[in-house]
Amino acid sequence: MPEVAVLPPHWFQILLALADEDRHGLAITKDVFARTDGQMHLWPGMLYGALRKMTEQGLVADVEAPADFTSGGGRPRFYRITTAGKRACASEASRLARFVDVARAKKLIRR
Amino acid sequence: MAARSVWFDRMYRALLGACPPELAPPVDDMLEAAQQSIALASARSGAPGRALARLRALADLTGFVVAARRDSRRPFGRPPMHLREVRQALRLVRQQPAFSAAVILMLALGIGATTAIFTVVHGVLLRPLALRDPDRIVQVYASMPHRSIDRMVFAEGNTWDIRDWNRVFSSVGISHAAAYSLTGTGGEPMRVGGSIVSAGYFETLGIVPIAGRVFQPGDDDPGAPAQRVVLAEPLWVRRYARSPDIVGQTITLDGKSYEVIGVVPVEPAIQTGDDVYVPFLRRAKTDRGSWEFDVVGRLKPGVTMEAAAADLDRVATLLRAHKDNEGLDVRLAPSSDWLASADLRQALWLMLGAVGLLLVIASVNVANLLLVRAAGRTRERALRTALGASRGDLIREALTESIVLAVIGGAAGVLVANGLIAGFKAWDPGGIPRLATVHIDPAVWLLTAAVTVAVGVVTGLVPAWRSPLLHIVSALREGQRGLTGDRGQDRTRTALVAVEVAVSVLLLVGAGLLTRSLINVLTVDRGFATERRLSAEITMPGAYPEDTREQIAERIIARVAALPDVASVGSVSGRMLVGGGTGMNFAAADREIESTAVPWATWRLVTKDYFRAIGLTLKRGRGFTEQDLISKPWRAVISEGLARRIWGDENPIGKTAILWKGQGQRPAEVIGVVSDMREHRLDDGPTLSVYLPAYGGPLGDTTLSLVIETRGNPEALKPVLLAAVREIDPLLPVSRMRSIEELVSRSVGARRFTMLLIATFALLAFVLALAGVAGVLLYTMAKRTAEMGLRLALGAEPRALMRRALGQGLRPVVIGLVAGTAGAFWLSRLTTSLLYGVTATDPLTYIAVVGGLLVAAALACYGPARRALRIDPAIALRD
Repeated sequence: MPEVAVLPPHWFQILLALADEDRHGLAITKDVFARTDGQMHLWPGMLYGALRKMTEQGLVADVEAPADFTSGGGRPRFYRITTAGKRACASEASRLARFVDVARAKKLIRR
Repeated sequence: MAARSVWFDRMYRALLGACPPELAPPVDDMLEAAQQSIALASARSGAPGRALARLRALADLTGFVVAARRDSRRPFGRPPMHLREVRQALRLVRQQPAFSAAVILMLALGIGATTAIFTVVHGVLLRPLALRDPDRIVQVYASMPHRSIDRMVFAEGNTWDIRDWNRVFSSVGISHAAAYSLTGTGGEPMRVGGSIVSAGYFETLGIVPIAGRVFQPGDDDPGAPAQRVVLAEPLWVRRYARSPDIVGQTITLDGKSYEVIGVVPVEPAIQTGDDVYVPFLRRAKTDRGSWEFDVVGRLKPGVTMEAAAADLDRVATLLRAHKDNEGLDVRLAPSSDWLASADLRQALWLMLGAVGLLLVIASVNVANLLLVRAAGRTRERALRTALGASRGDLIREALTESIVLAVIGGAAGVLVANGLIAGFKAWDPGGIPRLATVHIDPAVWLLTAAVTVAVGVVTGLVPAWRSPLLHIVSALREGQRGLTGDRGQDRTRTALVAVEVAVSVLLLVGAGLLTRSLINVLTVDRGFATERRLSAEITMPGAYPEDTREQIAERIIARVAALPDVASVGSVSGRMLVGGGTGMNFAAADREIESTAVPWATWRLVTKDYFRAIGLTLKRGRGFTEQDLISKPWRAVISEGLARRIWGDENPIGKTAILWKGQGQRPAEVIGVVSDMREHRLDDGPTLSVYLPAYGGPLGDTTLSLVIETRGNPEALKPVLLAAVREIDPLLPVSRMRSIEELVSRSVGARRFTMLLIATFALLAFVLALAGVAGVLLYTMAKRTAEMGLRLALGAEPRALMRRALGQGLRPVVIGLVAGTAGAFWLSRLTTSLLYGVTATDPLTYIAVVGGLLVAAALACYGPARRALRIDPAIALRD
């Protein structure tokens, strides 16, 4: 399994979006948009480009849409985080957390 | 504009189709996500934000497709040559964002404006009428050359004769505009427009009902049921929510019930404002004095226009036997005349020409930019030639790059066009039929695609053709000095600038002439007042007896006159500035006159305060009082121009005039003379007018048209007026409440539209041309920095060098000005019919344009020239 040294920020956000449930592309975009207060807008090309590479690297896998899912038209492709994906996401989160710890130690932020 | 757009979907799908299929996500997922993303990104902005977001989505998808293609491992190895070139061109576009943005912006403006105007021209002029075989439909009209009446409608009796006697039409339709007060189910009382039509009307136009049926042959025979109605689609949608059940029910028009027999679509070019059609029944004894009926015919198969005209001449000979038809001719015109008046046609083609010129300038600028860049890459090209690249390779590469740029520019141009078209529709200047229904359809797509490719090829060929391929060795050896390009390139650049300037002159002269015309029309002495004036129409139900309607009209006028904000109010039998209206032959009783010299005057029935309300002044005699009843005896007030035309400097008061000379022959006493006004069109001469009193009957007409002089803002009076009329009778619809200022503004709508668009194109052309002039000089000066440094070091006078530099920069400008002025002289005659109060060769306009361009170009050259001279000679020489 290939190693990902540093996760690109939008990969990290995609993994975060998939961490608790399977989602289709549009749902990922909306989740990330909401979580980042609109700072990160994953346009479809960027999103599906990332999902394609993340699938190749085994971080996510595409799955059948849940049976109870209905949408305006057709059944979109759903994505699920893999064990490797969870590991990569967690390691990126702790990498970022270390910086937060430093900031806290230097009394830049409270708590 | 709708949140979704078809063209965006198409473009997105097409682009996604370029993605290797094994790597493409489901198209619908992508498209849905793109739509939602656009909504997210433009949630708080309007149409422009949405357009930007769409562009963003396309850029994003392009990135995706390019990446996917790069990563796809196709079994047959490398992608074909042209794809590699496209990819390389895209890389170049990305590497030089400022350059690419400038080129794409210019192309987007040029292609976008061209697309928008072509969409309007196509939708208004070229798209066929929504009628069956419209080229078989002709309009039949009357003409009386001896009274200088070119074109008018027919009297009732003549229309039936034309229908019965002609041998060339498979069917004939007769119609007459009408208006009704619609009451009862479905909503408030409202005024509806419509036509009284003969049974052949729908058959002739080829209109097929949406629901129910239309009138059939025999439905207009004497004694056929009169109270039947065919609804037009707009009313059906507006008031009956497309309910098919309406067929068979009854509706109330002017207080009488009519059975609905069907619903028909309307063709906006000819039936705008039509809500209902009621049958026009043939009467045993038909009227021949009142000329108000339109006739259309459908040519039998195989009958030509010439054959039809000959047959109508025969019919006219038969008609002339009747005494009311003296001198009558029957003519015909193709139905395409409905689409646009000759003036509007001219204006639209002119706009298309103007926007084409703008596109030329934009393309020339782009070609110039590409040329400059090609010069910068001379060495690279020489090196590649040395390594074995053929001339064809290099040309193909240059073309690929310019076409890629043009395609991106064209895509952005479609966005610009969409915005412009939405803007035209929102603005709707009035007077342009079918404007509301224009859209970018396949024909427009095709033209835009063709224009885009053509621009890409032409702009790419200029630098490719100028590539100095033959001097590989010198280009390689010269090193940095290879940048200077060769003389051929310089000449090409100079020629391009001259072309830009010449085209700008054309556009600026056109814009100048049209602007002066609009100002002339708006400042012409109208004769009537426009400030603090309101007009409105009140429709009285035909079911009320005539004297009841008269009493109501009198009460309304008295009630409105008593309103605190009203200074005066009058009623008049025809609205101003809308064209058409009632007319008569007017002559003096005491002198003989050739029948061809009898003037045709507009006549209006007015109440006593009308002259004051509209702002006319009494020049002689007196105005009307309530004691002046129409025809008891006949008394008339006439306009100053008419008085002068008939009686010269003599005092006309007390003289006897013949009203309806040769038609009804009513002797009338002239009791007053009022000032002139331009009643029909501001760009016509003052109207010859006859005013007759509205008392003693005419006020009982079904339409009461008021002109009100207000003390304050006329807009504020609208609700007060509505309330006052409702108090008297809540069933009366009040319509067309407009200030006179608004009427004036609407009447020049098409003229203003043309002028503003052409002025905008001219301004853009001006800016682009100046950018071209300055850019080329900047480039030449930069190349000659070392030379300038040397000259300065050797003691050249900076002022003299400056003069030389300016002279060099301005040379192509002067060539362009001379060529452009000559071209404008030759082309400006195309605008003649659109001009007013100014000739096509107006010297002031030409001087202003040429002088302005020269000064602006000199200023544009001054900056680059100064920059070149300010350089320290030591530095210039060392580099």
